[in-house]
Amino acid sequence: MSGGLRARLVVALGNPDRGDDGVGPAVVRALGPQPGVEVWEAVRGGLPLAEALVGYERALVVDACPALPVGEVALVPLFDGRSVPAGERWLHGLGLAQGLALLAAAGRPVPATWALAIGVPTDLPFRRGLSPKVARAVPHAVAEVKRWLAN
Amino acid sequence: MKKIAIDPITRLEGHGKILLYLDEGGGLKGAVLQVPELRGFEAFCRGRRGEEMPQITERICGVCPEAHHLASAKALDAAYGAEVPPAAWIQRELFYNCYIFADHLLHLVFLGGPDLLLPAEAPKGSRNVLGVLQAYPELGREVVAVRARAQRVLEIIGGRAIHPVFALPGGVARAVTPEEAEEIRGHTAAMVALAEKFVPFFHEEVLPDPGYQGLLASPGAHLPTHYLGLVDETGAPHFCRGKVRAVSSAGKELFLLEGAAAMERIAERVEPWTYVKFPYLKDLGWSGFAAGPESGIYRVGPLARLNVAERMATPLAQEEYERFLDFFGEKPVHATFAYHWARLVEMVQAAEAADALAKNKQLTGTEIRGKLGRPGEGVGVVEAARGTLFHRYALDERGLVQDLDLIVATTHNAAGIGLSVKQMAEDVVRKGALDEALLNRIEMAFRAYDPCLACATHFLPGEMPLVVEVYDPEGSLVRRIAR
Repeated sequence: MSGGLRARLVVALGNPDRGDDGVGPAVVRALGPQPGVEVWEAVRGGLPLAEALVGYERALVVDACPALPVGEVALVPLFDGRSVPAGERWLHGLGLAQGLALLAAAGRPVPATWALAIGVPTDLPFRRGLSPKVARAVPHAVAEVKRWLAN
Repeated sequence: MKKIAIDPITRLEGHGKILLYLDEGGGLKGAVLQVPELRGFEAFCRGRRGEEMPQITERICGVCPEAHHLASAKALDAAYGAEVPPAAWIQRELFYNCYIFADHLLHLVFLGGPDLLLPAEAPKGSRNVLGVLQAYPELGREVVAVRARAQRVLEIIGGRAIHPVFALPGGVARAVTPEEAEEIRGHTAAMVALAEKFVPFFHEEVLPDPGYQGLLASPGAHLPTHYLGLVDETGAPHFCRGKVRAVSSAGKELFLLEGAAAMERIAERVEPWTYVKFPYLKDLGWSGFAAGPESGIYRVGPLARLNVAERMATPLAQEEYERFLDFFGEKPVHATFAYHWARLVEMVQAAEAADALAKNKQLTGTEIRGKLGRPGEGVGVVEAARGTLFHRYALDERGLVQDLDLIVATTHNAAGIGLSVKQMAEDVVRKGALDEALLNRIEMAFRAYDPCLACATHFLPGEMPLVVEVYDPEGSLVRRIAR
């Protein structure tokens, strides 16, 4: 609903009440305020998150990822603002990348979006605080966010 | 080289699992839905301050945090004996109707859309939301734009773009300004305009389709269960206030009770093979996984809400409700694929109700928080888009949570989903097809309920994180099918 594009957004995804799932919020809290950058914390993905990203020029989603080795950090492009993510699994699904593609196809100004993934265990129990291995990855992840912001 | 797929917030903690049991002849003996449970949630919440619960519980679900947020606030209203002022209720109801509208629209057009709006023979590669957008570009763009308007109302009232923080025990956090109210009225008017356009579209493009007609009339998708949902004092469905009404499979009222009393009439069946508890109507008892008048199994969600209602709350929705009942010629309507149509009727009501609330002068009222009494026990009930959601908290004298219990929509429906899956899968299994065709049939039944497994997993709506396991009569796994 707003006018011009806002520049940059960093979204930390994850639930701090579920142990290492909260690594995204832990990273942005360690990052602290950055000039000209909006920072959010959220648990929601898919189309609702994609809709919330409308109006930004670039976005970075910081998220826990069980597909990576625990403590590993990877910065990957998620949606370039144009091309359509393929994959049979989205026959009736709307992941974040698919949601962004839908909105782009409908003429909405969606941001080029990256994901900063941090490896976590698959079992995420209800408790607060990160495991030592994941906590040790936070400084590296913060450095990657800064690198993304600098570029 | 190993390829790793990274898809934010689709972290896999467990799949929604359908278990199919074969008989000696290779036919289908039974089918059950296994939903991962929230292990350790109750223990985690014990000792927390009651006021934290609307934020803690909304974070367990990435699909409908709005529903958990308000159910939690309502449970705290009751636990503190608080009287919520009218202006606060108007904010809550307006917010909630916008959530129902946006959620139902998403399902009708984009998640269920490939089933409802695209021909069955459409190439597999185009059977997705972009295929819907290409087939109906003008409607698709308008749906995207109007959903954004509904989301904007959620942001204004909820306080944040994607996770609400506004509802507190006894009311809401802040008053709506006159400027915000003016903006909201523009958004709700657009919601009504889209609803008005969508109804004839449904009757011209969706309902006449032989495929959908066949599903609506199919004896294999006719499931005569009981139904449960919230109604207001006039007997119309209400999404966040009123009493819980249960009707039998023959349409007879079983009870009409406040949330706490209604929760007392629900028991939960424990089975040794799953953590999931299967709710059933206590007075009727548990008689196994079967529908019908003797069974205690009931269903919730859009179809159930229309079946427990006597009327709709708004004029356009009432007109569509009458067309819906005329089409089936019976009430309750037991056709599982009528869930989609019921979603449309409710979407219309949500748009009209939101617009009326936005025009209410009390929306900008500043008396927004009632006085809290001494902490005790309370139950909060709302209708999530997928069905009835109960939160029950017991607080000690310091306001700390001593005990809690949540019954979420997909848990209510777990037995019904299993029965529908069995109906839909029977033919395919009999023909010996334990493959993609089986998965497709099961998904259609599954999708009609729009089930949400996100309270226990981080799966997105519609992502079909579904695994089907087929067991022989000896209990040995013979096939595992997954996308």
